[in-house]
Amino acid sequence: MANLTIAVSEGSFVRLFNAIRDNFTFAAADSADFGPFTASYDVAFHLENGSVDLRSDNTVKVDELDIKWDKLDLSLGIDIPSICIGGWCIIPTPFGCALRLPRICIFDDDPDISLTLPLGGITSEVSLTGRLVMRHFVNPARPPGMNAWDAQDAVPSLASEWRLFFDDPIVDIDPIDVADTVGDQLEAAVNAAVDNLLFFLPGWARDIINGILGPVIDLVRAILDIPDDIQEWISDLLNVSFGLLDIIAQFIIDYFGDKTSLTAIEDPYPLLPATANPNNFGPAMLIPVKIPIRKLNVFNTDVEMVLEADIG
Amino acid sequence: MLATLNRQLFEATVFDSGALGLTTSVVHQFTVAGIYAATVRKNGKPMGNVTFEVRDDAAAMQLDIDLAKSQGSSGNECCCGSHDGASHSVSTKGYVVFHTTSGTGWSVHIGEGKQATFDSTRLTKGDIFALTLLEPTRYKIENKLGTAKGSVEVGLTQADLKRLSELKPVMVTVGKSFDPEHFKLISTQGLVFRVETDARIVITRQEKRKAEPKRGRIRFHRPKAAETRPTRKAS
Repeated sequence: MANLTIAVSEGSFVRLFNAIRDNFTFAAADSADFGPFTASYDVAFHLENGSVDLRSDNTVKVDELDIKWDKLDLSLGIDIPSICIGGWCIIPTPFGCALRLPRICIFDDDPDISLTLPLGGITSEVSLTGRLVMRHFVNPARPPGMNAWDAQDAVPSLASEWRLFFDDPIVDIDPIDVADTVGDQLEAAVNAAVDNLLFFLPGWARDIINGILGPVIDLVRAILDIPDDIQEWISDLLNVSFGLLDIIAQFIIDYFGDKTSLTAIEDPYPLLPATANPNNFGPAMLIPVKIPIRKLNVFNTDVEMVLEADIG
Repeated sequence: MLATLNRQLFEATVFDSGALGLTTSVVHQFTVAGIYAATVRKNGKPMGNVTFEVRDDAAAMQLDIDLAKSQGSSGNECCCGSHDGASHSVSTKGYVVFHTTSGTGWSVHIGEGKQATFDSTRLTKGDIFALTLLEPTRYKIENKLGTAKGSVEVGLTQADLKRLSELKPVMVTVGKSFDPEHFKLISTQGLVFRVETDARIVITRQEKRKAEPKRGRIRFHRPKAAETRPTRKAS
């Protein structure tokens, strides 16, 4: 039988959760070579909202937790094929061309264009389900010979703690679903990139190059092998090719399951603080009363979270 | 890859069969078998030599010689590539194409004076001068070794832009006069002069270039001083 039982209402638990939710930030960047093109992402988000539900099966479910994208930039690097003129046949024969003039290329190599699609401004959702667990934490900076009381008195404190986490939570996350305007965004970015490539040429020369290239967006779509649905292609690139969804899910699991505790209880637990000695004898101050927590279990019902401690 | 734009393509205003530039080529048929050593000049100054072989039994019907790659070469090492990319010989029934991939003012000479087997500054019957005009404007055409004169107007409309890849070259015969004398082209369309009499064909832009409208300035900022505190890990 437990020596000590503490119950926490669902409302108080929600406040604990909200505090660590508000401290959550995620940022990541990566790049990869996909053969005909290179791609990179630079993303950052924080969490908002979410409904916390203590359930009767001893689990906690956090639903409709919003992923608010502070940054969701996808950059693509594409080699435009050689832009050449000439090369026409001036003496054709039934067996082929007897005399073909050399081609002259406008660039000395395949020119690159690089474009960034700012895909932010969208909201994704994530949910989190798991049991709660108390884990004992021994401060790694604490010297081996130091007792628990001295560790607590050290500045900064080297006290041991019992910490409350989600135990290996299950995370369900919406795929990143970019806005349906991404096709227009891509076209605008491609045109801007080509204009940037040719900006110092006279207008007629740019017209010629654009004429040779044809509609550049079609060319880029062909290079990138984009199907009809650009929106889906870009979502797949982020979710599947980069595995960004897995990275985010793992980060959330680590954050709530291991890195950031909902709350922490010092061990030994300070039952009474140090006070002035009211007697006429003895030391001026009475030492604090602290009880070591040998074991601390946590469970929940649908209305409260309960902590049960064995002390001594 | 950072590619460099070939600016010369857009800056040329004179196209001369005797001073080849980027978009011009001269074609000659060497009908007598043998090893030919050609002197390459730029603006009249010798720049190098190229050697090629013409054989009755050669398979290649075309040999492309890039005059710009002859600079400083003695001619023993060949600086050219054939049409099929396989050898530096060409059939007596084939063609040698002299062109350049950089610079302007190139000419090629095999022999000197009246003994010359070939002199690109003086094309003769059977030679071909081919070029591409890019800038939409009006050009005058002259044979500097004869009296022929003509003109060409190069245009480029939105409709033209959609069919650039379908354009066929325009053929002009160079005799006592040009045939046709006055004609129109679409930008990038080939222009081929078939020479029937001694010729040095010079095409010159007639109108001055209009100033391009200003597209604004590019502003540069001094880079921000680097932060001294350590960067935070992303994840």
